[in-house]
Amino acid sequence: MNSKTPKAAHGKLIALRRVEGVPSEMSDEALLVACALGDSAALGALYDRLTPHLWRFLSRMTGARVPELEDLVQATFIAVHQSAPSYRGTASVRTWVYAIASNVTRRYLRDEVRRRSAFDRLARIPPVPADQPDESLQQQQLVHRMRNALSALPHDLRVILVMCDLEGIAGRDAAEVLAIPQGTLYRRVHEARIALRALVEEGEL
Amino acid sequence: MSDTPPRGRPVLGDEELLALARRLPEPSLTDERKEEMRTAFLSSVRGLRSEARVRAPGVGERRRLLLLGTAVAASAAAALAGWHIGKSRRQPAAAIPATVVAVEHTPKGSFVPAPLPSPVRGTAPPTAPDRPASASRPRRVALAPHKSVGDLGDSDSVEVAFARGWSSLRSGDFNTAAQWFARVTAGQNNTLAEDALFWQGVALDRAGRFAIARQVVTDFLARHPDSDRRGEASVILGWLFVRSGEFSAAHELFEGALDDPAERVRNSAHAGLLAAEKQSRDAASAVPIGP
Repeated sequence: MNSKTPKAAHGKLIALRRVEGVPSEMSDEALLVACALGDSAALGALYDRLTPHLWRFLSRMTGARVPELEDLVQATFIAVHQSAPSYRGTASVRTWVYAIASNVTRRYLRDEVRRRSAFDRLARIPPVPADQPDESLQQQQLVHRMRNALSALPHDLRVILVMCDLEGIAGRDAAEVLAIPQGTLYRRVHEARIALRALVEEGEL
Repeated sequence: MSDTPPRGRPVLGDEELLALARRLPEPSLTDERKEEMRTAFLSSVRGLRSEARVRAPGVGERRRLLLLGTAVAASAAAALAGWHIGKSRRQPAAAIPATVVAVEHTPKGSFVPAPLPSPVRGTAPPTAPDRPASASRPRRVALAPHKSVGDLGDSDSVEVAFARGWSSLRSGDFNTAAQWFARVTAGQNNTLAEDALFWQGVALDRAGRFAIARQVVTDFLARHPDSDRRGEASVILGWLFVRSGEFSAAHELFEGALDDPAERVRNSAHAGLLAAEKQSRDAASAVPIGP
């Protein structure tokens, strides 16, 4: 059988000439290479393009509120800007940025600031009445329980669940940027779903 | 079998579980907020680049060599002077840090660097208020080429860290500036801690890290209630509260800064009061009426 699938080109991306073109028409990869060459317009374009995705990803990863999310987006993009020359093209730019964001959130979650804001946020959550049969209330409770469950997942499982199941990143890409074998990734996806379901079904409000 | 979940608990398949997770509401990202974040980010990056130009081999090589030569010559001169003074006062010349060329201490009062561009929403900057001439003369610390925050050894003085923070702030590298100032505030019993905490808040604010900036400025006000910079800090915090929609807290802070001796602080407080009232009215009118 000669049905070899073409292997992805591995190696550092080097621009042979200055990247040209209208930023809005350039691919994410071209924009990132342009960023690595110091092109501010490309950096701005990449920021515009990825911020909504990153915002949602970080929100799902941390459950943070607006000011903290802004900080996380800024910290991630600073890291993206600094690491742009090391992008090797083994996964899509969005997946690569998510991997950077997951490292940023790991540090953030360790931070005391996070703990303080968590207390603050908990204090602001309105109590949900437990005994009302209203369907919308039950739905609210379920959403609340899901949010708590997602926060309670171990970081490694949460990253994989959010990346693969919620953001729709391909397993091969996710395994590549997280530097784990694909088999390990799929096993962790399975574990994450089991853990999440257990937390949602049995978790306290 | 005990597989049945307790009464009232949901039973979810994979698809339902993930659909529920995907439906989790996320905080909204308005275009205005996105634009502010973009501006803050790009200005941070410009600061990082200007720092990199100074540090990059080859690019600023002549400048680096010139600075290094100046630093070495000045250190030698300082050591010589210290030796002469040491002869009379019995103080070792080696006490002068190698990176510090000249340090001039102010007799009293806080560090007042040159004013920065306007910090928030185009209002007058509450950064360099009018102060008595005796207090407005800063310590001058000339430095060897730029170091990263991690390069500072334990033996380096907080003054060096403060000066590096300040030069990073001036060059627009707000994140690095905040880290240097944090170094100063981490030290015990140093006279620069108060100023450093204030400037750390300013740096974080300009880096667009509003949540942490808010905590640092709050911390500053709590730790130094009698500070000369209380009015400035109140105004900065007030604008941060306006930004997050906490108008009554902002109003209180702006009111507290109305009698600040610095005109620019008072102006910013006035502008803040107007903005808080306007945005509060707008927010109230946007709330839907009914259940």
